[in-house]
Amino acid sequence: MAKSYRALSALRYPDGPAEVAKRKAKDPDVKWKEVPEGAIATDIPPESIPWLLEQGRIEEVKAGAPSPTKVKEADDG
Amino acid sequence: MAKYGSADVGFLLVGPYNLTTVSSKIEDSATRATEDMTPFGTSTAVVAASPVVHFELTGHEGWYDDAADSINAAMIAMASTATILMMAVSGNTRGRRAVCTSGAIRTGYKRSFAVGEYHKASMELAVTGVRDECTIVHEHVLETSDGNNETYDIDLGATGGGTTGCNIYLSCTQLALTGSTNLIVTFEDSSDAITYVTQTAMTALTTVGAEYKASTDQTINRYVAAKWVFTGLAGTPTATFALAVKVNAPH
Repeated sequence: MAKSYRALSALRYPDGPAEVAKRKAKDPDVKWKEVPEGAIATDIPPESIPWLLEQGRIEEVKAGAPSPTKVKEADDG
Repeated sequence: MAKYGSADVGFLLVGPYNLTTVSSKIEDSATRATEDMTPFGTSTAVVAASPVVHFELTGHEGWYDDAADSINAAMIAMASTATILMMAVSGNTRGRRAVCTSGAIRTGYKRSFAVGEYHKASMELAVTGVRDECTIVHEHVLETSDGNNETYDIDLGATGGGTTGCNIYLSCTQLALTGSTNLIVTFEDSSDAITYVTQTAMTALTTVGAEYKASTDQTINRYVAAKWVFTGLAGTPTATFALAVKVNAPH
């Protein structure tokens, strides 16, 4: 089962493996997928996940973990 | 190394005003004053350089134009307000250099009228703050739909690593929303040219405008791109804008 990641910044990446292949081949006609900040994504290109995690652009979502929105509401009191 | 000429000056944008076609000369200068520090007891002069560098844009020559988007309107708008200046000196081409500053102040505006000649107009600008040597991320060209441009590798050297922070300049000189809500221009970066991250979203535009934003603590990756969206798309909107970025030193 694919891991889920929360976008901590808005993301844009090729929409599926075939589009990733087109991107790598420098085909200008790539279909992009956009993920807004805070949304959950399960189809981020695998090769991008390490640097996105390292730079804090995404975080892994564990099953049952609270959403950041709920945490923020609790903090705001 | 390449040499360039006047035909290579891609654009001269002052705030949201495109002065490219009404300008024929401008001088971009940086000067550092010196101070005589020679003390008693020596006959050898000691001169120290001031720690302050002054940037100026002087020697401008051009033609008077009273269109609402040209030099006369720009100079009136700058009467009491500093604005952005973006000047592409080696082509209106992505990846080429643009001289940019967020603190261009009008210090002079002269118009001359003579028999047998077209009316002339010239400006003198001082710069408060820094002047950046930027990389063009989006050329000053017309866009007619949502889009993103092809990545550009800002060449961070052998490591290819990120830099810490950047200065971003946007000048939108023409905008027709045709019922769309606004235009949002975004600066993106990527480490692998596959997945892009929104680095900085510029303020939504509902009319022409210019903006400077700085980020001081974010990693900027080697591949950069621009994305533009007409929010609430309606009709056939158009926009002409330039986006340039100066990245800070690598880690």
